[in-house]
Amino acid sequence: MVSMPDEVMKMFDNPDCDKMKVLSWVSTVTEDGAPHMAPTCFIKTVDNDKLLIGISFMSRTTSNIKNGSKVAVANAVYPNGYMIKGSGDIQTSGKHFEDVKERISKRYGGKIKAKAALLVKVEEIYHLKPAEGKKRIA
Amino acid sequence: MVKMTNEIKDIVAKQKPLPIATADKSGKPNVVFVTMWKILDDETLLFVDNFFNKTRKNLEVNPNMAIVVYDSDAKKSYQLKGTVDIENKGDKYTSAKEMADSKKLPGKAAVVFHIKEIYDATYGPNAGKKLA
Repeated sequence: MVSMPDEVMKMFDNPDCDKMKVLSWVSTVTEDGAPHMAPTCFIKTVDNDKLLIGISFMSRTTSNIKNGSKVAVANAVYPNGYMIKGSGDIQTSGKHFEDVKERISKRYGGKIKAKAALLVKVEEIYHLKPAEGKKRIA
Repeated sequence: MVKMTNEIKDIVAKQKPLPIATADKSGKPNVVFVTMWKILDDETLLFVDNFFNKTRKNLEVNPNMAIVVYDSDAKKSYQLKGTVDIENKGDKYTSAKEMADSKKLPGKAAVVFHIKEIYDATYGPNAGKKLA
């Protein structure tokens, strides 16, 4: 079991897309093996071993995950940054979907709607910093 | 040929740090943030490998790379996809080494990123639209 330390949880908690906080970058891989990356601000931690991301657009990310791609999510307040690697699950019903739907709808006054929730099960945690050596911390 | 517009080049030039995504052979993505690069021309960026670990290993087996640039003031974002050449000698390496030396960083290699596709990544209905 991998669980996120407090400082990691803090970096990835931005449930209402506060623009003063840094964006998180969600990377997946296409069928031909090439990386893909999309920014998100609707992200929060669930328990201490999952990330919940609200999807309004991100069509390529969604199709990559449906095709079996793993997920990497990273953000940075330079020179400190964190990356989570894990397995993604696209959900279009249930409590996580209802949660992101409500938050996105509230944030944009109903003009932008949630298409899905992306739940990432945390499997590896990295502390990114400009230095030599391995960065994996869990 | 895919060319960056002046608007995209301006964002590339001023963004710090810049996230770059690579993938290993099994298809697992990796993201790191970099601060040292320069625009070589409208379709090429030069990144300096100072502390690449997984990124370097991935690029050696899978030269595909994606970067996203973001201008928070203009609320514009673009994704650039392409392939890289890793160079340990020649003009581009010399240039990378000079940039690294000026900050007392290792400058292990020049990672020359050839842009093949450009996508709109701005939050909104055009997200994911291929621009070039």
